[in-house]
Amino acid sequence: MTDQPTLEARSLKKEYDEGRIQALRGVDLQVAPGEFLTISGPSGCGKSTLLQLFGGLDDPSSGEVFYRGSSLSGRFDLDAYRSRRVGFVFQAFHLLPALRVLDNVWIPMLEGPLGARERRRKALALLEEVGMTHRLRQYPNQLSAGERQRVAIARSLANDPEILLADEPTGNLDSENSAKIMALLSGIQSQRSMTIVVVTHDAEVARRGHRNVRLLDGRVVAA
Amino acid sequence: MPVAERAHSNQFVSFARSIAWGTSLIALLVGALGIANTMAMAVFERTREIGILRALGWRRWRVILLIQLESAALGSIGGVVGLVGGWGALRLLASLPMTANVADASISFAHAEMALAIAVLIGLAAGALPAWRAARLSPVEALRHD
Repeated sequence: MTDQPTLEARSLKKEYDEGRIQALRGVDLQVAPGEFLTISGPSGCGKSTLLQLFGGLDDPSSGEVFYRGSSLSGRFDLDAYRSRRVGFVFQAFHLLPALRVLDNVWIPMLEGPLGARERRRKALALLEEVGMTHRLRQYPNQLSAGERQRVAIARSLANDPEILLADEPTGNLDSENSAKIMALLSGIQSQRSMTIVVVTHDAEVARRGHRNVRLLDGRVVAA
Repeated sequence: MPVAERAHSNQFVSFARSIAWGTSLIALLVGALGIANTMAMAVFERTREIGILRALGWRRWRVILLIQLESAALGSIGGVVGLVGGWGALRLLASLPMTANVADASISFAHAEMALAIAVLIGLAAGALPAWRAARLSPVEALRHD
């Protein structure tokens, strides 16, 4: 491991509704390369907001997020960061309903260097990795919740990101599927030495990481 | 034909042409507004999908390209349907005894080409604003969209 953290939040604040809602109230947090970090806390504590800021999906009100020492603010190319460095897994899966499973997985690769044939080959390999090759021609609404999350995980790996950010990945799953999805994420982390950050309100899921950080009212209360 | 009668006839033809151009322009405007409205609705309904694509790293220009391709496709489909419909109407008019002398059932290739090009251009122009708006959305705002 190198000294420089993969992700770092410095005095991170995020306000909504002209300051009436303070989602984050000065968060300082470092995520080391290859670390499997879980962020837990009750609903509304700011954990999803923190993940969105780590992923460059939103701008902080003040403070900064650093990726390998470079601030995500200013002239940083957030599109390239989201496309090449980060993979997202969402609680609501966010698969594209009009596309089949295979197409959902290769769609992020359009921002990468691969040609159509390589994209298809890679998408097939990723779907094999998550055990979904038997559902290639199905649409998302024809899949179970667990299957949708597997496809979403395959999609998140499309451009070989070094960071995987998962926002309540088991939030819409039963306990059996939750355990399977967490086992899948753990396997991916160890095989690829990825940095994974999982946000969860589930204590069982929070225990699956190398380290757990607890947020309360927009502040880190235990790390 | 006496001069006065010919002049009156020419005036009538000019007037009829003006009416035809005016009607065509109104039809064009209505078509353009229709495409603009369709594209605005399509983009609004797919706000979350656009948010997903932006979250996955799609650049703004790629979102604009996607929407503009759809607009151009919509415009060209409208153009083809309009051409076929117009040609059918002309054939009908040419077959009726009352209008057979003034209606010509043939449409030249150049006219058809121009009509299609105009339809595609109108599609692109109508889709430009929704595309620009969609591309400007922050991914997190778009993902929250119901």
